[in-house]
Amino acid sequence: MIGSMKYFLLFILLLCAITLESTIIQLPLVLLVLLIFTIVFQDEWIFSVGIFSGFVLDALQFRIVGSSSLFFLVFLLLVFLYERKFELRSVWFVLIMSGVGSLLFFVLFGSSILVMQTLMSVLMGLILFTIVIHVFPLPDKEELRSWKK
Amino acid sequence: MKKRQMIYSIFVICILFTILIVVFSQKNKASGLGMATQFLFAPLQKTVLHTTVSIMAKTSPQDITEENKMLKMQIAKLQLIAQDNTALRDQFHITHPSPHTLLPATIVGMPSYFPGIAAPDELILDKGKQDGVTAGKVVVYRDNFIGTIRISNDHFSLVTVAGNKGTSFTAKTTQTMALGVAKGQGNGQLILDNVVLSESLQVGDTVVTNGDTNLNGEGVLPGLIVGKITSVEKTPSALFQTANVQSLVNIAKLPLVFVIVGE
Repeated sequence: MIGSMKYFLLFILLLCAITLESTIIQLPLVLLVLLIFTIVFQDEWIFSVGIFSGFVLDALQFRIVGSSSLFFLVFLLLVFLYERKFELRSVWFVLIMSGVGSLLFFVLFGSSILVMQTLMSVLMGLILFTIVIHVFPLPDKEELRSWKK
Repeated sequence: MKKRQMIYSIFVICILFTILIVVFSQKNKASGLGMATQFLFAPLQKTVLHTTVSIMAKTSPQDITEENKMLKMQIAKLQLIAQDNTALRDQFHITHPSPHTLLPATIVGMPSYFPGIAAPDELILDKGKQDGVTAGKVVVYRDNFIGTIRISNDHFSLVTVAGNKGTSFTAKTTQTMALGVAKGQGNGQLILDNVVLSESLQVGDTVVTNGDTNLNGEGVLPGLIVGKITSVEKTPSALFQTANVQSLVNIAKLPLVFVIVGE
């Protein structure tokens, strides 16, 4: 039940993020959704989701198809690597990774107002994190499904 | 350790697959897939965009009254100008741009837009090569220059707006006929640069395109309205003077635009 709800929520959030990012808002919403789901669930399938959502985003924005996917993959791998060093499921980690990821995204793909957009992205990342952990309360540390095992 | 190796393996496979797709995309082998994606999302994008534009377009009654007064004044002036134009065109048999060359196109996306903060630098239209829209075509709205088509596939096109950082074209003022280069500064900002000091730039003067068409008639047509001068920067020690130009059209509130596709 939780598994199917997880996929359903991801699908809805990604659909909204892709539509908004390709239409009306210059924020890396897809990156933020992928980041939050990686932090909360730490599942390997997020890589494949990152690839295909990147393809869709590039197609809609007339970019080279795959350019966003490459960025998402590398960024998500960094998040997995940091699991060994930091507690991922914390507001500070979300804050830092949202900021760093958004900043890199804007540098690579362009932005109008870099600082303002980065700050908005961080805020959006925190809001998304709050929504996801509200729907899926964080389990105890022992129950976490970690790729360290 | 095994789990970590699995993660790396998955990552390497995904990266290789993505690189393959990037290579195909650069050779235009993945255009069909891109178009199918655009078709799938176009109705949703249109709904979101038009809903946002409708919300942003709401103004207070006092704003509407003031706006009404200004519009009436402008209509009066325009009527006088229209009478002169009619007389001149009848005399010289010129139509510009002729109505049958304009193709209406709906805006389905503004990927570089940020409501209330940044103006759009790019637009995505629902017309493509099959409709006669190719790279280099000019996009207008009521004689206002909006931008040029940068890329197009069979059914969709990407427009680089006049205020985009990479845009530049020759332009002149209507009152003083000062010639310069209109350059986009990003975020919808435009300047009229490279105007010699001997020319006169006046605040409130209208800037129009000078025309950069090639032998085939493709390119920016002359006489399209770029905007109005809001301030002038003139330093005696500099070679040129510069003016800030504000567009008369709020691109973010446009539901559709027109592409000049030719006769």
